[in-house]
Amino acid sequence: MNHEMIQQKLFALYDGPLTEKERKLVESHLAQCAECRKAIAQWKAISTRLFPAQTFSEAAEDAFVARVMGRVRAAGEKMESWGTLFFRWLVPLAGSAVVAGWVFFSVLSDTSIFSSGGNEEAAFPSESSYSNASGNGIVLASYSSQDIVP
Amino acid sequence: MLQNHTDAEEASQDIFVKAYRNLPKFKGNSAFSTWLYRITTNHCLDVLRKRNRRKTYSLDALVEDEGDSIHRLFSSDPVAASQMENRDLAGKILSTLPEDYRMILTLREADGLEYQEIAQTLDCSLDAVKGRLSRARRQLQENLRHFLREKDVYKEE
Repeated sequence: MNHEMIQQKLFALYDGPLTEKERKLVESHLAQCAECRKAIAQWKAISTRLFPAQTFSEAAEDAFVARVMGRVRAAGEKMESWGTLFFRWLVPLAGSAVVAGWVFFSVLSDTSIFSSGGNEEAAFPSESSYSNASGNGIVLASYSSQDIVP
Repeated sequence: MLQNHTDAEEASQDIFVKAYRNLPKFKGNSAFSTWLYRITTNHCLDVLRKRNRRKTYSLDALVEDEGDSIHRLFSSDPVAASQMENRDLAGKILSTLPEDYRMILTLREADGLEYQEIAQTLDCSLDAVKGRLSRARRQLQENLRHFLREKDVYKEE
């Protein structure tokens, strides 16, 4: 293995994932190569300063857990309050609105029956007039099959 | 990863709350720690992207503002480097790297993840992990070459 190939394996030695054979090769190269030794030494100097082992006191850990759990509980209560509002108030309110609407429109339809002078056909149009949603159902209904066939 | 202790703690809280809320979505297809790391990396990238819209820290600006502090950091004892003010300085030095380099170095060096775990967390191949890690290290060494004096580097051997 030449110098270039060893350099590619150099940090793998530092990180650990090398086979026993590769490890021996890299270590024997390191013993002879000042440039590679310097590269590893530089990296160790950087790593120990920029990524020092993190240590937290038990009190700091407890305080952190308490803060996180406080936020989790607060989020849960917020959702619960929306749920409570939904089930206790919005659902019954919506139900009442539907019933009130149904009663209102029932009364309105009854009124329109009476206002048309008891003409049931006007209040409940025939099947042919339902067949056209554009409002000209009556015109369509006035045609017979004989009018259409040449 | 996020440059300072306060931002890191706030992000940690957000991440745990997010993980708690999304717990039903965890199907067990990967290790729980990998799932948590994935949430963490995505959250940190979001935070960094929002922040980068406001401010970026170039290497030149860092050297001008903090050059003396960086010299002191690398000539000091490594144990002293773990002090809080040096942690913030370390964050600033790392912030001169692209996000993906900073992320992979943090996962490997600070969290001690194996190559395979990093690949799962970042959803990439093992070769991609090795390549990116190698490039990230080379760039960081290059950025810091003026601060790495041989007598300081070799005294730790």
